[in-house]
Amino acid sequence: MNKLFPLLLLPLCGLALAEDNDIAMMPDGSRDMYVGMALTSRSAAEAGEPHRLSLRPLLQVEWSNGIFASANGVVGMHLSNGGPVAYGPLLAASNSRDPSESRRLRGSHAIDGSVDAGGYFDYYLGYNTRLGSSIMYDRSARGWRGEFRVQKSWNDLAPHHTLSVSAGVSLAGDAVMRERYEVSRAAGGARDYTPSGGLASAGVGVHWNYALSSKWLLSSSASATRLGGEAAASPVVERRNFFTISSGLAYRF
Amino acid sequence: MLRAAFLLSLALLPACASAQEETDWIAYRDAYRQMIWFEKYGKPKQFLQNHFRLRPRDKSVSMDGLRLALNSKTAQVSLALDALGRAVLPFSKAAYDDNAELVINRKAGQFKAGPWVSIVTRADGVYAAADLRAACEQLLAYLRHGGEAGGKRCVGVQFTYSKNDAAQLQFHAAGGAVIALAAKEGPAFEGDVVQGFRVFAYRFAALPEAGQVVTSSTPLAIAALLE
Repeated sequence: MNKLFPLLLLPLCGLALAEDNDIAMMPDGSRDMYVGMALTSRSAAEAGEPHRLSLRPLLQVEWSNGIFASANGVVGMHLSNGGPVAYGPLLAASNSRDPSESRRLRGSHAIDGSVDAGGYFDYYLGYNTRLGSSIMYDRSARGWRGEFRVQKSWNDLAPHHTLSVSAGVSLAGDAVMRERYEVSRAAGGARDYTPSGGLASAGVGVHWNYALSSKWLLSSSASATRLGGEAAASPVVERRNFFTISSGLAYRF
Repeated sequence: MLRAAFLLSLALLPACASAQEETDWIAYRDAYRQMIWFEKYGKPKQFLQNHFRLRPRDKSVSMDGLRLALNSKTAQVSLALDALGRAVLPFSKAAYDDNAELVINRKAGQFKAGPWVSIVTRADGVYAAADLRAACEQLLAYLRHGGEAGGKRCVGVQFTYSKNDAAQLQFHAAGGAVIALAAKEGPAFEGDVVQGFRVFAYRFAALPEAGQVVTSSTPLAIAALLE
């Protein structure tokens, strides 16, 4: 009964604010919204991303019609109406990247930021455990990427605290892998490199929410991600493993 | 200086007084979300009822004097609790939009709070065996819908009375035989830490299939026995 928010809103490097959300179980015309700021620290940037410590907005909104949105650029809709299965369409914004941004990206493809479309499908194995999946069509790469994840939550360890642990893999087709990790010597890269599709990354994460009151929420997470072999072998990749910790304060409107 | 200190202490007095009564809270939105699940459940549920229930985490926590209130910007509503810590939660859009709080007059962590489904009691005190079997199956189906009670099956129902209630329960078989059900001491629901209720277990397999359970007074609750 106590269901969790769709997995896409709980990326390994991100924060999920609502503790036990599922389909829009709220009065018609109402919404549930968290707004705040979080400080995020990454041990290594992915493929040329320069920032290590960043302040970023926290946002998670859900409306009674089933539509939800979050600050990490995901908009979706719950179509299921209870039961062990949750599914619906998703739109997700992907980041742009330009080879001129850093030396390491020389010879890689320019990536246009795009709004990608797909869907999610979650299956609940009991009260607080779920298997989650999503698949997205990446419009700039013209290819598919997807995720599988298992997540378990505990909201009974201490009053007003929720702890969840997740592990997952991220998969990408040839086109998506090439857009991110292909390097051409002719375009100024260190060497020619063409990855093929497969495991893009695997990771584990811990997420802790502490509700200070019914309005204020302290949300923190830590995660570790390891890039798949095809991705890690790319000249644009500096480190194969990276760690992220994040903590923020949000107000529930 | 002294006068200022005196005035200051007067000003702080209400804060100290209110700090003495410790309270805990539950976001109304979270409670609403959990409770509406039952309302939206589309399968048969005519024998079931859903309450918002406060359950002590351990035996040392007393239910005496326990109060539950719904506090929003505009109103404070006291929600009546029965002997088992159950209250009827109002579904209020105003309270939801207000991000109201449910407040318990106890310190944090003493109680678990959440939805609680049980079997409805009857004013006439007469329960058809077939209805009780159906009620148990409805409850099991509902729990399974929420991903709980995996692998369990219905073996009976349990009627709960307070310790000093002298109620008697009989099974009237369709053939005319009358069998008295035996009372024992125990918790109202499986997993409860509060024991000491007078409970009657009606195990389906132990008695003829057709008949009625006749009670001499209304029980506090009827639980499904799942094993």
